[in-house]
Amino acid sequence: MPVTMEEVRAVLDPEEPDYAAAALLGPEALPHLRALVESGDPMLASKAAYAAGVIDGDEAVEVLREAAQSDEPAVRVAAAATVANLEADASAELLEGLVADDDPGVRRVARAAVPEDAPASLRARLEELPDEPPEGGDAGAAGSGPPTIGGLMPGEQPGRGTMPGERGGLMPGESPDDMNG
Amino acid sequence: MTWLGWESLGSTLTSGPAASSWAPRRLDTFGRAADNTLLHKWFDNGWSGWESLGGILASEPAAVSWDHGRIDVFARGTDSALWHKWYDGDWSGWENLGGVLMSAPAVASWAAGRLDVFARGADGAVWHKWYDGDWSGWESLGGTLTSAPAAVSWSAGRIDVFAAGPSNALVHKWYDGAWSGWESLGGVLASAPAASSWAHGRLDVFAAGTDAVMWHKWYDGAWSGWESLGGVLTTAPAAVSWGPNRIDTFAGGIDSAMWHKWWAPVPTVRLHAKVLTAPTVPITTAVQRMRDVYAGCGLAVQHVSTEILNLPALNDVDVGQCLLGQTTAEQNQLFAHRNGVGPNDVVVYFVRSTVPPFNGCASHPPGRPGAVVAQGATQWTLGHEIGHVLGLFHVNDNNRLMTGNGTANITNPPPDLVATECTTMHNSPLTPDI
Repeated sequence: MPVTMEEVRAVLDPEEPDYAAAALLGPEALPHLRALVESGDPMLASKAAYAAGVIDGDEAVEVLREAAQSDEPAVRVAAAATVANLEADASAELLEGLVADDDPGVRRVARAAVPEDAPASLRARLEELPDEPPEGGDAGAAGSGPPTIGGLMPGEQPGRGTMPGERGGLMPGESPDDMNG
Repeated sequence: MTWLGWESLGSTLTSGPAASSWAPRRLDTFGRAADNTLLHKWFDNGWSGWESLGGILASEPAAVSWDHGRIDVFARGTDSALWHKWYDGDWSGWENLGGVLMSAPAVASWAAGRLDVFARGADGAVWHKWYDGDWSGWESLGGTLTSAPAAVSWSAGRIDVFAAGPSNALVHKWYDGAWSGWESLGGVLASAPAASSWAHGRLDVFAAGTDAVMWHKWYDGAWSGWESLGGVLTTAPAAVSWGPNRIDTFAGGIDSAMWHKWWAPVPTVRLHAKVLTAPTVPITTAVQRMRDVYAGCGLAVQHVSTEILNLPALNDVDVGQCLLGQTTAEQNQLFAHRNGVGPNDVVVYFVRSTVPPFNGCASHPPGRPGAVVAQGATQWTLGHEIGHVLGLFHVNDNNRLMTGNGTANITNPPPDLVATECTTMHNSPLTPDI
């Protein structure tokens, strides 16, 4: 029975995919996984890359080779996290690139995937690389908002008149001078 | 505490409402019907229908309860006199208390057997009449009112009177053994004010602004500014408190129905965001989506804090199989960064990715309730993961928040929480009444 994209998405769409179920899809899922890696959706691409690793096989190596070249660091992290599931030679080939990735998060996950009995070429590659520098931050900013729940009266526009409950507010038409009684 | 509503209580009113309460969870509301009779609707663990109490009203009614099972209602009659009707197990007839009122009356009671009634007289001043076993005559308290007054008492011997004054600003006069002068509290009122008090030293005043929105100002040792509470009011509001931290307000809407908005403690998820990588869906959006869904269960979501965490080694965090009660060493390290957050508060760690790739993962160490959410998560993932933290499990239904098929596939947004899920969430120690 051929595996359809719908069946692949049914496994990967959940918030927390079951990668054991992904492995059961088998090699026929790999063209769909490759399409998802190329889809431009970093979340789905990451899941597809990881799933390719647990399926293994020649085409899985190709899918992961593509994932390892993704512009999205999260996709490369997923590739690094699953590459150890491949056969040793293919795994080592991909890890040689991933351990030297520009992104420290990708390098960290890739280094953790290097087996103790890594091939000499991979060990040599690791020795060529400088030690990891002290880790720096890369977090972004985020905002916050006041708690509101409830309905609107007829004619009321959503968001209208919903100033936070801060002291010092003025009613429409009121000037600060009016506050001086 | 949170403002809840608006909710429609129906009817077709031709005046602003009045409200009283004789005990916690008891409300009595009044309004004038199209035929100018007095209408009554009450809340007693559920809303009654509307009943007619007769009369021919020429103003909004005013109402107060001095004790359990007692209500006194006042209104201006077609003869401009003050008329009175009371409930004490049964409704009385109408009693004429005289006077020449140029506005709706206001009433306060500081003890059983005590009533203080106020109205604007023909001279624009506020006039006062009281009952203390017998009815007094009328006394002028001066002032130049441009609206009907409002009155409330926070304890025996204390009355606070409010009205729109010159320039339509809120003016205030109080009795505390003797009458004060008038003080201006600012604002530009487009309706008469309403006043309530839930404790000694606490006052809450409401009025429609020139934008028809309900505005709120309060006193708890000092006067606040004005707070907008939304709505589109076509009448003056009414307000009453049945106890501490509870206010019920009522007003007519453009559909002439009576609308209700109330301030009350509600079961609330207190949420703290710890950001390693800002998510693609902004945190404010994800929190609002969570509020949209959780509100269906009567749960509020309070976004308490946002903190940037500089933890690059945990930005692609190993979550293992993400099973309830099982956490990895990296999850343990990440969830150790609660940084002073209370034990029943929920922390969400926004990371770049999880290993293996998940939208989010709600497994957390014991005593450190929280979840991780990946950068590429959907707008519903935050609410979904916190749903897990509150005790919910996956379902096979894409109309529901807890779908196990992926929140990207939700078919009828906002997704639902069903009654059993709401019960589970309410029973969680992570949704205290605040």
